[in-house]
Amino acid sequence: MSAPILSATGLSKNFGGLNAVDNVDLSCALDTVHAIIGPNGAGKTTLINLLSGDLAPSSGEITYRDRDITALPAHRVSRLGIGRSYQRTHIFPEFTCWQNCWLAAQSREPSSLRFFRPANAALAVRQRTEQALATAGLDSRADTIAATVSYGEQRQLEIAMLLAMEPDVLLLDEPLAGMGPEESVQVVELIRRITPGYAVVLIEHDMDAVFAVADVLTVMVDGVVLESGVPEMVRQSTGVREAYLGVGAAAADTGCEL
Amino acid sequence: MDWLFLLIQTLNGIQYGLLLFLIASGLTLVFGIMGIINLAHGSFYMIGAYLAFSFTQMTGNLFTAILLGIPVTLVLGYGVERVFMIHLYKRDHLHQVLLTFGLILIFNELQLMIWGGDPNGVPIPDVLSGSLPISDTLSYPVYRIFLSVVCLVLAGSMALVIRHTRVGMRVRAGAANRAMAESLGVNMRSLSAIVFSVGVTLAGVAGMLAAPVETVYPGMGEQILIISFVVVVIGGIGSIKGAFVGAVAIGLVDVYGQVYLPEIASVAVYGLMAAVLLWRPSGLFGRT
Amino acid sequence: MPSRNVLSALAVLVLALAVVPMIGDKYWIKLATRMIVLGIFAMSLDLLVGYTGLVSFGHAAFFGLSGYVLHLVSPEDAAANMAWALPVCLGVTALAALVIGALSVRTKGVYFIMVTLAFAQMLFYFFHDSDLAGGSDGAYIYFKPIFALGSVVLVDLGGSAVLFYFSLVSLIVLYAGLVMVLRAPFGKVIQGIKVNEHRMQALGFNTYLYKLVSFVIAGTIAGYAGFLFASIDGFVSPELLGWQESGIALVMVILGGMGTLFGPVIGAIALLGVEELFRDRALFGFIAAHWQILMGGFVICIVLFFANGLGGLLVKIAGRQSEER
Repeated sequence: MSAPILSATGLSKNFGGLNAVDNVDLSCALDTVHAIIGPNGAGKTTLINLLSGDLAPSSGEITYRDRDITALPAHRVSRLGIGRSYQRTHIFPEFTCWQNCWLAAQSREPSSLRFFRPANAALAVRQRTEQALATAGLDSRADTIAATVSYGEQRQLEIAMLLAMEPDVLLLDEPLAGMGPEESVQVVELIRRITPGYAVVLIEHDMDAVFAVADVLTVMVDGVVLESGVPEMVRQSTGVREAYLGVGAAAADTGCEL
Repeated sequence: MDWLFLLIQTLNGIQYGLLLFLIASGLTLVFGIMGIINLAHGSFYMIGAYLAFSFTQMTGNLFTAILLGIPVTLVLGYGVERVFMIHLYKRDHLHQVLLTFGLILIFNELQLMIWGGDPNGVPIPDVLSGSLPISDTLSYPVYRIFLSVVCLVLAGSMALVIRHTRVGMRVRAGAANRAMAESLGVNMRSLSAIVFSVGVTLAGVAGMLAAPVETVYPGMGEQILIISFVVVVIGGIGSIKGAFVGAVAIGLVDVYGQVYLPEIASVAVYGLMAAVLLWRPSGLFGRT
Repeated sequence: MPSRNVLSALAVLVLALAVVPMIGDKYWIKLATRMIVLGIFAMSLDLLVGYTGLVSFGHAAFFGLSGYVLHLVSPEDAAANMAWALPVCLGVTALAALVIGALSVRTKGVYFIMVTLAFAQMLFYFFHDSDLAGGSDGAYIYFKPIFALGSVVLVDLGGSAVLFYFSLVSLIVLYAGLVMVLRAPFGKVIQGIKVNEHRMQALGFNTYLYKLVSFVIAGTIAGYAGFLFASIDGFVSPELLGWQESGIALVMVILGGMGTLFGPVIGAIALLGVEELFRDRALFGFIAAHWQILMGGFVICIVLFFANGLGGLLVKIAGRQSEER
């Protein structure tokens, strides 16, 4: 595995007395998918929030391309090249898919404090938008209002917006949430297709998807990293089985989940 | 440094602050529980003051006037909630602000029609008209102490009821999730009406109590409303503790300002607000 | 960019207005001028409310401040020269908007409404309580501003027809300017902020900065309107900065149709027209003396039944806005 482009060491976040994230180490390299799994309440989304700058850590460090980004707010982190998608669709419902991606593409321009020439005149932005929509398979829906497209397409739009930002790191928070089997397959394909050139951190509950794309797997329980490594190895780990299936179930192969 | 003078001004500041606390509690109750920002809250303060004026003239006794004024204000508040506020639960803040702005226009004009534009005064009841001596030469008016205590007790009781009683629990449930509370059997319609009526009556009672020490004049509602907003901004919306701290801070800044730095007195309060905003945009105790 | 049909309708409206000084007397010309100037004021507020999602209840602060600055720089015995007086008014207003905005924009939602109201009230009290400019009585601008280059007077706002046309042209130019700004990258960003500010931050935009710039632009245009308004009657008073003025501006925005730019202008015209009606004894008898009650009722009715406003209606009738890419 090549050198990590994004890494976190000793990352912690506590709310009052609760340690949502407790001393977590994480790293991700280009062209790899690092999946994070764990039961609900394990702290996965909080971890992503820390990485994206939406939350400030209580302790620990986050490094991106050898640069300390621990204290940076969300918009600075985003500008540096770390993009994220959200578990609950977080798009601009009143705008068309094109306009949604456009804003993401425009964010890469040096400054949007431009008042005179029309936004459409920016060729580079236009190209980025077209490309992102095409990659996500949404070109036919470009002029449709985002609130009216199907749920699955909205999740694709989340990812398209991410691509339009031209980041290095993709933080995907449950991209398959609420999707049926067919749509899930499409999105998994999308993730697999776009991975070359990006470092992907993926939170998911859908185990089929996880094992289809993950190069590295980290299991979190109660804010702590239980196990981290190559998927096959993690799969075999007794500790993980216990966490998911309960004590004593490690001996019995239930055939579900893991 | 005249310490006794400072003491008296401090007491005045606290008294003003506690009055603001009562008014701001009503405001924060309605906003925190019902999610409605009611610009006409100040109008109820004004209505309370004018009712106290008229009823005291009629009965000769401020206490009777207040006893008469409270049910009148409650009924008025209930009526306003049933007719107007009921439409605002699903609307955004802009609509709430504009509708209640319309109400202010109506209330202000009605006040002019009924009572006219001249300022009025309400006499302090005899039993409370004495002064408590605090030195050989200086004494402090009993009424102001009475006013402070009543405001503190009223606002404090309301906070306790919300926090520690069954009714309060239902109110908080309704605030957190209206639909859910309804499906659990909480009658949100009557609860909303009650909360609103009580909230604005707190402002009304503040007006009635303050009438003997403040002038009763047109436009007094908006003046106090905006200061209440400053209190809530400083203290944080939805926080009674915040309303208390903010109100007393403002009371003191305002009184000290008027006495020691009269040129900037009227803007001192806003300066305090600006300072808090720089440091904590959601107020000292507000939820971010 | 509004559709062809809407633009045509607006052009007709402008032409209709342009005729007023030719057929009406001074009273009507002044009324029409007030409508246009308040239209500019309301339009500037729409930039904040309808496009950036910032509900300011203190926009009149900039409207009134500018008028007061004009009074302060106007000599008692001659007219001020717009060539420098106008930039001074706009400069002071922009600075005030920058300071107030820098503090206010840190807040969100209800807080923002309350904070803008409070800061505007602070300015109100400043002018009301101090001797700087007549206190609560207000102050006069004895000679309306002129625009002179050297000794040549090109424009004299003292003539009511001149002031009317100057205001009308200003409205058209400012409208076109705002349309341009809204089509530019800046306009896209603030509209995105209105819909989903958090997402815009996640996309990498420093939303605080954009909101602040929007606030300053809106405040400065409000200052321009205030400059003109003070020139209509040559008089300024603290009420110009007051919460009623700010509230009425918001009503104009809603009445005309938020987020359309031209809607609030129509709202201003409509509201002033309605006020004229309410004050008419022949129509409303003794209530006309207490027309504020009628106005309050009118405002409530708009909020309850007509919240999309007239502009929204116009857009619906004339056809959807052209969906550009």
